[in-house]
Amino acid sequence: MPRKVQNPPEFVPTDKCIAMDLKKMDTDSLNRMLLDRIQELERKGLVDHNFRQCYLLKEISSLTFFLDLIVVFLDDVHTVVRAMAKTLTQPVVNYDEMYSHHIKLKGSSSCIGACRIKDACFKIRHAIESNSKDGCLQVLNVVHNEYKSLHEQFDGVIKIERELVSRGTRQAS
Amino acid sequence: METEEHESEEMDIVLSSMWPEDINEAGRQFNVEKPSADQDMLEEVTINKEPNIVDFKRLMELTNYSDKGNWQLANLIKNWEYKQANAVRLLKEEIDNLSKQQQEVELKKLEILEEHRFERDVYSGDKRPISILDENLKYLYQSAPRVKKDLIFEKKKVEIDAEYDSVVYWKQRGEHLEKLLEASLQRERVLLEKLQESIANLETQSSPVEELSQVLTRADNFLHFVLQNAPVVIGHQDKELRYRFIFNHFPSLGEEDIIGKTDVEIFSGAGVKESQDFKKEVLEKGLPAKREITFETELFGSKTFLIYVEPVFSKTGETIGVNYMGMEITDQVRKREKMAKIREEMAVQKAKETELTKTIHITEESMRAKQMLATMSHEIRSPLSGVVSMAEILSTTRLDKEQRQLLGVMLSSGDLVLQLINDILDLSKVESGVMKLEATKFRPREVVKHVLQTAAASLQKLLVLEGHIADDVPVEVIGDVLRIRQILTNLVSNAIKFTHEGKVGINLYIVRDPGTIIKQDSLSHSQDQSNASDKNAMPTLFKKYMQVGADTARKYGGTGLGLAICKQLVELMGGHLTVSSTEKQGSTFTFVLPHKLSTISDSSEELSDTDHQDILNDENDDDLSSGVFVFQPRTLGSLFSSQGSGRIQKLPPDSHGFQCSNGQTEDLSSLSPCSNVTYQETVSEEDLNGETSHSPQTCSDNNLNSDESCRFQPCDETSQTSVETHVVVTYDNRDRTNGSSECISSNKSPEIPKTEAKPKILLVDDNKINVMVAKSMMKQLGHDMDVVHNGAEAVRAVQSNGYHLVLMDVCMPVMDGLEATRLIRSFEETGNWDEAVKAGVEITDSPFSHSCPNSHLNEPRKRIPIVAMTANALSESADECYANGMDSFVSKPVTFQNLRQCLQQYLP
Repeated sequence: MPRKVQNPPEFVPTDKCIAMDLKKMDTDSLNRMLLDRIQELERKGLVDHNFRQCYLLKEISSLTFFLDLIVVFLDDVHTVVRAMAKTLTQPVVNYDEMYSHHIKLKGSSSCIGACRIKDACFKIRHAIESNSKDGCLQVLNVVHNEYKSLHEQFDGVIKIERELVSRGTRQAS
Repeated sequence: METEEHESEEMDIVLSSMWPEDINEAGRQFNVEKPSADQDMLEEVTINKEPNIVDFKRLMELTNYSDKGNWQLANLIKNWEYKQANAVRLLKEEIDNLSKQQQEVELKKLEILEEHRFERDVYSGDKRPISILDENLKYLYQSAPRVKKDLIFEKKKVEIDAEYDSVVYWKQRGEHLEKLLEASLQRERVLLEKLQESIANLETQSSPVEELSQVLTRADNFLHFVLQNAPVVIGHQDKELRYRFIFNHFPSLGEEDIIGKTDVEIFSGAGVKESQDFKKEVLEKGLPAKREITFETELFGSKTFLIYVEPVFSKTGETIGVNYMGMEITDQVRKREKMAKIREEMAVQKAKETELTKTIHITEESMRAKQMLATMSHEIRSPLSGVVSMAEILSTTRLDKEQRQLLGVMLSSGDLVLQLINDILDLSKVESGVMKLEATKFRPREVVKHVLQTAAASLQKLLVLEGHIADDVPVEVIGDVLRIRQILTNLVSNAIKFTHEGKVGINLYIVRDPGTIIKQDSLSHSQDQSNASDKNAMPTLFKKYMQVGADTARKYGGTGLGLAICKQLVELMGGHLTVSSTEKQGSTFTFVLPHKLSTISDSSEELSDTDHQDILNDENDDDLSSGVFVFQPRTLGSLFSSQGSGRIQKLPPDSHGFQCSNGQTEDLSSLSPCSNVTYQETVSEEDLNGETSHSPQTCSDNNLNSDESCRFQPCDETSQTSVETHVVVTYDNRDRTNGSSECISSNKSPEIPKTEAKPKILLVDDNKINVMVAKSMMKQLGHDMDVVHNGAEAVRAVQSNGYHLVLMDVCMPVMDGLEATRLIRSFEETGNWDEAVKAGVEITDSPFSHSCPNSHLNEPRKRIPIVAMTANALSESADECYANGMDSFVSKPVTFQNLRQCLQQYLP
């Protein structure tokens, strides 16, 4: 049963809300809150429709799918960014290596819908094609910042999702 | 003195027109620059010859009667008078001078006498007289006496040795003075003589005639000097244009040849008449004029002259002749013409350049616009596919009837927009040359049949769809079946859209071209279509976004891209698409495509369109040769079922349900899926789903009625339900499993569980996120996937398991997707994994073909569809993928849309 996306949010989620004890909320509210969060992220332009699609895939796959996906994604991005930074600190930059890193980053981010990181990937590609180390570093910095802000935003989502997962597993057991 | 000088200056001005006298024959040899080589006209001119020919009588007349002559004479006389006056003045002055000197001498005499009387001798008469005869006019009057030197007085003091005031002294002094006086008298005499002489000289020297002739000679000399090498002709012609004077270095004609004759009499050829006429004109008008005339005469060949003609007037004002001056300017004209030509060429060049720049600019602009459009479309497609996928997911959930209906509309609209965007992308792909065609074996008959079947399935009009295939059309040919289908589908759907009644058909026949040696046959598909466009719409028919009329879009919808795409596709395949149309009668769209003949078809070989041949029996062969398909109006899978049924009632009562030839059962199933609308209608009858397995039975019973052609006739009311049910099932199956092969199996043996035939899909991707999402989506679409994380693993997986489809990431560690694909393709071609082993992939002993349980997968070395999946969406990477043997290209992120497309395309 898909969530009723079209319903207008009954309350605007704030950090305060997130800070609230999620455990006290009922599952429906939590779900609604999560959707609102996603909508908020979309509205801010941090993610695109693919993110919601990933969320909807939870229905078919598994309870932890969405949670896993976000965690793996953040982890992936972290790894790739570090790998890129490392590549760029080499005295002679291996742009082929940079290219494969960027493809990986682009794949992950476009898949989950992290559109800003995906957009930054175009810039990385451009910098790589023009063999510009400075350009790469600059864009990498952008990616890093995007990652940080996305991380903050996803944290809220993860909290809610964790709560939902734990409830789901409890129910199953 | 000052006045004298002033006067002499004035004289200079007056005399300035005079020629220097020292010009003689020798003067002609002055170092005058030789004319350049191009002045060939004068090359052979000898200076010694006196070239001017004068009619003296005429000259006299001229000087007597013409104004000009008068004026010249007057001038000369004036000139002479000046000179005379000047001479007289000079003489007078000389006389004055002399008389003054005489006076001085007298005075001196007196002084001397005085001195004799007075004590001191105070002689101080040392005044040097200056004659104007010297310097300035020396050249004119060289014979003038040089008086001055003689006139210098000796300033001698009388020196007397004797004692002063003695008698001797006075005596000596007296003697001395006597001598002086004598000398003085002597001088006076000499001077007087010279004066006389000078006067006599003056008298003899200057007579006006001599002066005149002198001046004339000088002028003549100068003229000769100046003109000796000039390419000019100077002449005077009288009233009748007969030459009276000519100056010409041209040596070929003598005096008698020219004087007294006219131009026409002298020369013949082009230009002569013109010059004559021009002179006449000047004569008549009385105004000087210039003209350029090109002569083409035997005498001197082709030459251009700039001619200046001025009329000569008599005292009474009548014209009595013309003065004529011509200068040869052939080379200049040639140069000028060349110049003009060059300038013209330059202008043309420049114009061309600007035109070219414009064109380039426009092309660039349009390229940019196209690129923009493609990018935009691409950008729109991704979110839109998100919307459509979401809607599809939504449709799998529990919804009430109204919601489902709304969702159905939403889905169909979404599909429509997607179709449009795909069209745009297709078009830009074709235009930018990225579109790749593939050559696969296919059966034209089946293509035609399928296209018509598909069209019939969604037909909402009372139209008959017909397919006629000529007997000599080969069973199999090689070409890009997908694109041909696309073209046919497009044309047929257009035809259906614009045809209100009658029939729509496809005719397929061979156009043999005897000139080609290669076994290449042309298949020509033609299609009738009632109504359609009127003639004046023809030129715009194939243009993008152009529709017949403004109201067409409103009435029929559509974007106007369809025909443009068809045309481009046909042309891309080396054919051409034409149309002929008669209003209210119909239109025929004809396209001719060259095809290679396939080698003799192996009945056991699988084709994309006939995966199910193994299921069919030998009767299948009938299908290979059947040449006529007719699809008549049948139950309409309409959104508004009441309308549909209303139409059905109009059908003849004896009409039957689907009548198929043997072996068409499976086609029926693949044909049957109607639009999503049907689906919507039938889901409400969900309870029927359980009984679906029986419906094919009904159908196959009916099949026996027809044997020659594949005939789909309207069902009668009793069979309607079952058919509808059947439709539902098929559609449902398709949607869930994306493989019509399953429908077929359900037709053949409904008891077999569907899952057994599930195709195996391999996902090769190292990106965890992608794997997770793709797997989940695949699950949603009803498929399971095996997943490996690099190319080497993929090769091993393919080797040990038979897969129906491989989704391959391009960028991977260990071994990238391109290499893996190459290795797999190499196996498919050679049957061994040597290449893979060479590349370092560990190969197990069991080839997959033995491990594959599915019968139609057992074909060894069957080409596995490999679809590239990459985050790199650029066209060059697509090229790379195709070059390495991949079949298709999907850019990340993975969406339901592109997964479903893949499945539909490669897992039929």
